Amino acid sequence: MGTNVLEVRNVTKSFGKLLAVNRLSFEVKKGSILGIAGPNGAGKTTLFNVISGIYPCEGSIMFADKDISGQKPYTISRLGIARTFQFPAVFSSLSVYKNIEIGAYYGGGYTKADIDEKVCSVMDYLDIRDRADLIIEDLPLYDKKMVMLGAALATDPEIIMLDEPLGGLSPREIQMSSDIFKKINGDLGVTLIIIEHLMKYLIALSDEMLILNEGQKIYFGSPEEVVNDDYVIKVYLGEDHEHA
Amino acid sequence: MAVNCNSTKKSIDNKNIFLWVALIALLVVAPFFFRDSRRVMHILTMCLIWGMVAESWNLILGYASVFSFGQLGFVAIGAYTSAMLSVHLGISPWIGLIAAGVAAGIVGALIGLPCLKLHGIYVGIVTFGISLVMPTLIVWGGQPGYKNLTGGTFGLAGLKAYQLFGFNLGSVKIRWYYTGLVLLAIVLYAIYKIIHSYVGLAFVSLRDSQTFAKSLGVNDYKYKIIVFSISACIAGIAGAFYAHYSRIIDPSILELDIFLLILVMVVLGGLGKFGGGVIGAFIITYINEILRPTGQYRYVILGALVIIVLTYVPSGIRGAIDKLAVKIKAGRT
Amino acid sequence: MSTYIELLISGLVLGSIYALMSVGLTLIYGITKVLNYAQGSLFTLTAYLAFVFFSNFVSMNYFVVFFITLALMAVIGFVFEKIFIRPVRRLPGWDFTVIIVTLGTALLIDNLFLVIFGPLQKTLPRAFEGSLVLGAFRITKHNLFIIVAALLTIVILDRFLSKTRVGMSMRAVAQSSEGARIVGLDVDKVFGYSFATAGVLAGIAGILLTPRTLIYPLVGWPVFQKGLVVMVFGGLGSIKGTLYAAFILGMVEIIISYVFGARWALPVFIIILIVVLVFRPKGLAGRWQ
Repeated sequence: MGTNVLEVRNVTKSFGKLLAVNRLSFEVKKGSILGIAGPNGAGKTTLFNVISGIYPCEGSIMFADKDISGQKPYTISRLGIARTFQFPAVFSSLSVYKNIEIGAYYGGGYTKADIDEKVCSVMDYLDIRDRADLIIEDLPLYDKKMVMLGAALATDPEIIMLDEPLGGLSPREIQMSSDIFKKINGDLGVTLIIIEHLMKYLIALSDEMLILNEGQKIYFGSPEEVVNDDYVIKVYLGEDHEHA
Repeated sequence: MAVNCNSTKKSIDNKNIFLWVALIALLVVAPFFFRDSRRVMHILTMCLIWGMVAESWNLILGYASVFSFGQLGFVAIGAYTSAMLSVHLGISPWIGLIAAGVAAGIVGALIGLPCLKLHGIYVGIVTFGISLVMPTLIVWGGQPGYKNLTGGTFGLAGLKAYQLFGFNLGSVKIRWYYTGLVLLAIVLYAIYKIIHSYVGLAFVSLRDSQTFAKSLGVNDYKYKIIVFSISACIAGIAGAFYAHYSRIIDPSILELDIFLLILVMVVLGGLGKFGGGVIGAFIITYINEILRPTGQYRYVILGALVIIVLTYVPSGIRGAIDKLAVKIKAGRT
Repeated sequence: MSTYIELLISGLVLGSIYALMSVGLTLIYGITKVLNYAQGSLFTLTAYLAFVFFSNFVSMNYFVVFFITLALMAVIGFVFEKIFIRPVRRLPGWDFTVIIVTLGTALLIDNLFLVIFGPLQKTLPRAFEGSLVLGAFRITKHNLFIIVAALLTIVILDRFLSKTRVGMSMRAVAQSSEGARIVGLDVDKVFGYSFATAGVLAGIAGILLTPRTLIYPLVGWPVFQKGLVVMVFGGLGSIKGTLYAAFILGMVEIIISYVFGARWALPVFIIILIVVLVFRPKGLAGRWQ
């Protein structure tokens, strides 16, 4: 801990007149878990899209002392930033194995000689190996989310950005997911950035928290204090009960 | 760590393996029934050639989902490469065949570099435009000042036949047929391998979820150029074979009728389905022949057929076969 | 000097025709997302329709025929969408399938002409015979009519799109067909109107140009091909960009034809197009969607 693995500096992304992300700056410490929350339309997913290169933006994004803003998504993936999506964006016509293989081959750079070993170890790690040959389309939501995470993990990333990984899951599945995130962060030292509406779980997971509203930072600091911040309570926590 | 936990590497296409064996067997024995009819053998040989072109088009259009409308341009490049080498330099048509593939593949990559950066429909219009321009270039290359390189409007005639195991393919239709069949088999095998390689996997992933694929490191531009070039290479090889089989090549290969006919083969056979182009080639070439007596009504009927099939059987004949196979399977269990 | 003025006029005439053709194409694309490969066939169809009227009702006034034909083209455009396009739009992956369907339609229509009228060329009368002499240069009255009629058409189209209910609904669908559906527009009908409008535009181009080129079954193809380049050059879905592109490429074609010969026009078009697209991937004024 201590050094920053990612620094977002003055980043702005607009769609026409709408400022989805507005002059946003923050840092992510290496090996930490950053939780991001905020009401709908706060610019959370847009921020992920900007960092992963789907949208161009103004400002700079420093990853390992290099500005990665303006790079193509596949370049950023190979540099070591992986992500998942809010709505399971899996390759639905392919098997669990193939989905993870895609991450290992294109993003991880594994070759025919060692790719099988990599895919198997990822499936073991996430405890989905028994489903290796099943076609994703028919699998339940939890499995889809695990496959998405598995494909991201197979690229050997330094950072994984998780977009609402807990949404739609049962309490038991949320617990299992949280444990896996902690394991990935603790054992493998992967930095995690998590967008989540379920504040209780996000606070429990995070080392630091960032709260966004209308594209701007309204809070950055420890998760313990976020619940005491008046402004955050006013704009965000006030409606948390609806989500919980 | 356990290795090779991936137990089923079999593809979905394998379930149709019996269908393929039956089809190939049919193609191998077909000449024994028709060997006395030069016309039927000619039609069958043309089916093989158009099958190669249609399947190469299917690769870029159906699998890679790139709106490429310039496939006949690559056929022409291949045909003219081999023909010019043969006529002007006396080079063996076998070497011409390889040179044709290489030339078309290189031109394909060069065209792909700027084109494939564009969005879907733009690619279609630019590639279509390039194939429209080629007749002008060919006629220009036939001017006396250029030693009549391309033969101009009249084309290059008197192209040599292939030599095989001491045989000259000459004008013996059945020899051409079997040579074409082997070539088609090689082309189909190559395409099958590509589809089931990491190049093919990249396209499946881009088709299923483009943003996730890119975020996992799939470089779509790179794979599009690779497939564009391979598809052009195959079209070029088919073009060279076509030129030497016809013994003449002229700019009429680029006419709109042929463009449409082959496009119809791909779509009718089944876009993005392995072997769809070949099946389409046989059906359309056959229909085209039986409609020949209707004279000018032929293309009216073909046009109507395209509209009806696309509206009511959009997945093509190959898709319909798949559905039928599923039904039969379901009936059994 | 007078040569250059005459070249300029020829460029304007050609630009006018390309404008009518490509604005029709871009209108259809912008609103319905259909790349209509049968637009050239609609051009040819108008020419044959006008030919039938003129040869059967010899005494009929030119402008009566002109407007009857165009009214018919509006109906044909609407029906064309209903019969050929609408059934395909329900299918998955229709954006590609529909292109092939329009190609199939072109094949069908063009060969119907061949069956009905034969390969021999037909002639169409001009709006006005003779030419005007203005000082050192002369312009045929028909060429002047082409330029004026095209410009008038564009102005009327602009009014139509911005002032009438139908025109505004077309623009709404072009912005977002989903949004238009939500606010209660009958999107299917709007698609029909777009094809009707494009049919009229192709029709005007057809009646204006074919007295110069003669009528034959494939007369629409070269115009369509260049209209396609113009549309992409201008930027898909942008009428303004398309107009600029039409007149630029009209001038380019005349200059190229004058210097190198007419057959080099299309190759030069394609080269210009590729160069422009490398630097501006959306064309002169294009938007992504």
